[in-house]
Amino acid sequence: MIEIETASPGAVSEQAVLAALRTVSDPELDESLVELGFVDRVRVDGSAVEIVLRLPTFWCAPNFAYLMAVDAREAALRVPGVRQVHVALKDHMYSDEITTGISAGQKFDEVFPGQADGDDVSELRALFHGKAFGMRQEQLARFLLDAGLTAGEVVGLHLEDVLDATNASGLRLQIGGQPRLLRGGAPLARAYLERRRRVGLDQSGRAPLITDRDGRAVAADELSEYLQCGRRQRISMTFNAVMCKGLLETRYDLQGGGQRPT
Amino acid sequence: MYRTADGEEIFVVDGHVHFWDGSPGNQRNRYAEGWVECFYNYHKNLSPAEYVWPLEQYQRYSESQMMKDLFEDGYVDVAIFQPTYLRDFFTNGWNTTEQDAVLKAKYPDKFILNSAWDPRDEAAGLKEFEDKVKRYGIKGVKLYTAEWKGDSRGYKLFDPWARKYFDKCVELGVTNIHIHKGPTIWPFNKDAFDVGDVDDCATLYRDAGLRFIVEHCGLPRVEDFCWIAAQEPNVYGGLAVVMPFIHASPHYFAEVLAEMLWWLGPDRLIFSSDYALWSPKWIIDKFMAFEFPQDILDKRAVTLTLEDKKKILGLNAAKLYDLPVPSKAGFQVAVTA
Repeated sequence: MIEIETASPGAVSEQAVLAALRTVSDPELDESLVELGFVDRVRVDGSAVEIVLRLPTFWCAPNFAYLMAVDAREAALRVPGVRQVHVALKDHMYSDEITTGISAGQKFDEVFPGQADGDDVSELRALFHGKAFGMRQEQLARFLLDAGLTAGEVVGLHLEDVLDATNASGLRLQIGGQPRLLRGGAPLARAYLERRRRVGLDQSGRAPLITDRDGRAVAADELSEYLQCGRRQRISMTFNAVMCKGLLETRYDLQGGGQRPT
Repeated sequence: MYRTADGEEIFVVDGHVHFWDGSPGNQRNRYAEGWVECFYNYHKNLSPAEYVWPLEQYQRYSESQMMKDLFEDGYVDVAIFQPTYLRDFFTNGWNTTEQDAVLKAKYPDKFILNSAWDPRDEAAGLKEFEDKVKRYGIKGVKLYTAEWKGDSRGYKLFDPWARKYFDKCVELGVTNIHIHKGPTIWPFNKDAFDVGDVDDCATLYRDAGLRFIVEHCGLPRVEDFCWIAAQEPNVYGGLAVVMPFIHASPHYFAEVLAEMLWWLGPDRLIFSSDYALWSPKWIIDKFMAFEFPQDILDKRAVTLTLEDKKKILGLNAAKLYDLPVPSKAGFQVAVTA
C-alpha cells in the first residue's frame, strides 16, 4: 500500500499527485510506477510534494532509476498548485547521489560523470519507448490475426480505419470499407496508439497502423516474421516484469502487491 | 542420474553451480551486503516455499548440504563450478577457483572446476590464469563482464587485453567460455550485459575451437541473444535463471524455451540450477514432467522429445567437457561446434 500523508490539506491533493505519477512508466517494464508498487510514499505539504520511490533491488541500474525519478518529478511539477517537488530513492546503492542530483535538477552524466551512454537519460528513454512500441504493436496485430483478419487486411489498415478504440464493447475498425466490431480489442489498441504517438511517427489518417519504428509499412508476406521480433521483445520485457515484481514483493514483504504473469 | 517411470536413466550435468561465502565476516562493504540480499531475494522469489532457506544458511552453506542437494537428492552426476570473484565486495572473494578446488580435490569425479579471468588484470592476470589452468587442469572459464574493479564498472569481450586472454585459452585448450550475460545483479551501465560483444568473439574464435556459453541466455535481452546464436554455431544457451521459471511462471518458461529451441535447437542448450540460487531436484522433476501448452505450439512449431530433454539435462554439457556418459544413458549427440 502506498502511504499518503497530507500535512495541510488544501491547495494540492495527494490524489492529484498520484494520478500524475500513474502516467510515469518504468521504461523496461512499460508499466506505471504506481501499478508496479515503486511509489513508496507521497507527502503533500502546501505546495510542496515529497515522493519516495523504492525499487526491486539494491542494484537496479542507476540510469533507469534516474530516468524514473526525473520523470516522477516532472509529472508532479505539472500538477496545478505544486511548486516544489522532492524525490527520494530509498534502499539503493546510489540513493544519496540520485536523491541529491534529482533535487538539484542535474542531468545523469553530471551526477555520474563518464558513466552515461549518451549525454543524458533521454536516449535511453527513446530506446525503450521504441521497444514498448514494438511489443504493444505485436499484441495488437496478433489480436487482429486471431480475430480472423488476414495478414493483408492487417497491414492494409490505416490510422483512420480505427473508428473507435474507446468503447467497452470492442474495437471498431473499418476493413475494406466495411465497419467491423472486434470484441475485446479496444484496450490493446488504445495502449498501442498511445505509445505510437510517443515515438513520433506520422499521425495522419492515411499513415499505416502497423509500421516499423521508422514508420515504414510492413508487407503482408513479411508480417509473420516481423511479429516474431516483437514477440522476442515482449519475452524480454515479461522477464523483467516477472523478476522485478517478484523481487519487490519479496524485498518489501508485500502480499500480492504485484500481479505475477502465469 | 534421473530415472524415468519406465526405468530409463538420464545422465545429468548441472552446468552452473557455486560454493560461495557470503557470510558477514567475508563482506567488505555495503555492496557485499546488497549483493547477498539481492541473491537471496532471487532464491526466495522463484523457489517453491519448501525449498527456501533461512538467510544465514544461504550466506554460507556447508559442504554436506551441497553434496546432498546436488548428488543425493538432485539427480546430478557431474556439476560445473563457475567462479565469480568479486574481490571488491568480498575479502576472500565470493566464489573463487581456489575455494571450489577444495571440493574438486575431495570429489574429483563429481565436479568440473572452471576458472575465470579478467582482462583488466592484464599481464599479471594472464600469468596467474595460465598457472591455474596448469595446476587444476581447467577446461572452461566463467567471465563476468559487469564485475566492478576499482573505478571500472565492467569490460567488453573485445577489449584488447581480452583478446590476449582468449588467445591464451586457445593455446591452453580452455575451450568453454561461459559468459554471464543476464540479470542477477545489474551493471552500472546498461551495455555491460549487452550480448553484442559475444558475436564478435564467437566469429573470431570459431575456427580455433572456442565455444561461448551465454549464461542466462542473455535474458533480459533475449532478442539480441537469439539473433547472435542463430548466426554463430559455437554459441550456446546456458539455462541458469531460465529454469526456475518453470515453477513460478510456467507459461512464461514455455514461451522462452520455445524461442530457444526455435533458434538454437536442442543441441545447444545447457541445463543449470545456478545452485545455491536454486536447487536442482525440483527443477529437474518439473522439467521431466514438462510439455508445451498448445497455445505456444500454435505460435512456434517446436518439439521437446525425451531425447531432447536428455541432451539439455546432460549430454550437451558432457560433449563440451568430454565427460564419459554411462552407456545406458547415452546416445549419439550431433556435433555442432
